[in-house]
Amino acid sequence: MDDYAQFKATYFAECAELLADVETQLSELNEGSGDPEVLHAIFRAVHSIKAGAGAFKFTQLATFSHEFEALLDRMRDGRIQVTEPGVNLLFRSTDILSAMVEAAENEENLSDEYGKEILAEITSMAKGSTVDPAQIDLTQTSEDTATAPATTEQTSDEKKNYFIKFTPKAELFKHANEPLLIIRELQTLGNLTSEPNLDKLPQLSNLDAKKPIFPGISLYFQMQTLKM
Amino acid sequence: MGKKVLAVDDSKTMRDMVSFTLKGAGYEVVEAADGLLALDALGSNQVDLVITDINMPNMDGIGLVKALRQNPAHSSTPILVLTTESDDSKKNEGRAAGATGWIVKPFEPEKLLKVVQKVCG
Repeated sequence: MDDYAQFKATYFAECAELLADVETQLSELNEGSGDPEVLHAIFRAVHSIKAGAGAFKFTQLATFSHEFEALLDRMRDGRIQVTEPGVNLLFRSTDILSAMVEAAENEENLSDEYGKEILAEITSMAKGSTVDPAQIDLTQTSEDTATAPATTEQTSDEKKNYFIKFTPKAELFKHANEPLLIIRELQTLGNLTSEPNLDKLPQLSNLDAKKPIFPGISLYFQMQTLKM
Repeated sequence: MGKKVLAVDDSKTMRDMVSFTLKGAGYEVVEAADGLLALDALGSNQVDLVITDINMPNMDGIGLVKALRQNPAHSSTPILVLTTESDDSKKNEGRAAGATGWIVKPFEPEKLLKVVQKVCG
């Protein structure tokens, strides 16, 4: 993409405008703005910074902005609740983003570790669960699982949304537990969609026929209010 | 006179890159910064191809594709969606709206040209 090197100046000028806009929008968010367009605008700005970073092969910037964008995407569509710590993380992430843009513009190399702590926080929040997946006890009842304190958002008086990451331990099957039973039970309580975590699948060469494989699933669950 | 392409992206950097690549190959390029501005720029004028980003203010790329498909003047105009989104849900949304094809950013100039030439000659 060297043919595009001449457009770097345009890109950095655009980044400066976008970052200033992000700061403005974040201030509105911090002041309690409920306007959904605020998050959409922040998302688009980070998205544009990421696109240019990819084009010019600013790898560190592209990677960071990709994760930042993923978190914003989940916030704007309601999968992640916008909380005070969340907004605080967005501010700190923007600081890192600005520093990475500045380093790229000045052709400075930041250490590989730069921004990694924030990146870990972003990734953790983007995954959206306040439940440590490893701590899920499959001996608990399906009702316990459905009402576990995962990230929730009440969209109306009638429904509640849950995002559940379900990554059981390998020993699960030794005790004759069957995850499908839990999932089926959840389906009786509301709308359930699932997504397998395929990135957790082992390489074919690492497969052990004696060990069960359950890489985990992400469940998006909307529970209907139970009428007594 | 070269074939006419409408490049729609809220990023000036991206519009410049697309324009530079296509103009170098003899295409005439018109630019717009979002879906609404693209519709204004088009009016009832014909173009040979629309290349649009997805994430834009005012009217996003999916909205633009839908609006063009509902307009008899542009219902059969080839539309390429150009975005960093690579997840299937966005691709499917674009296809369902009526997009002709998909290019994931960042793109190589040669790859962009190849796809554009394939779609509109």
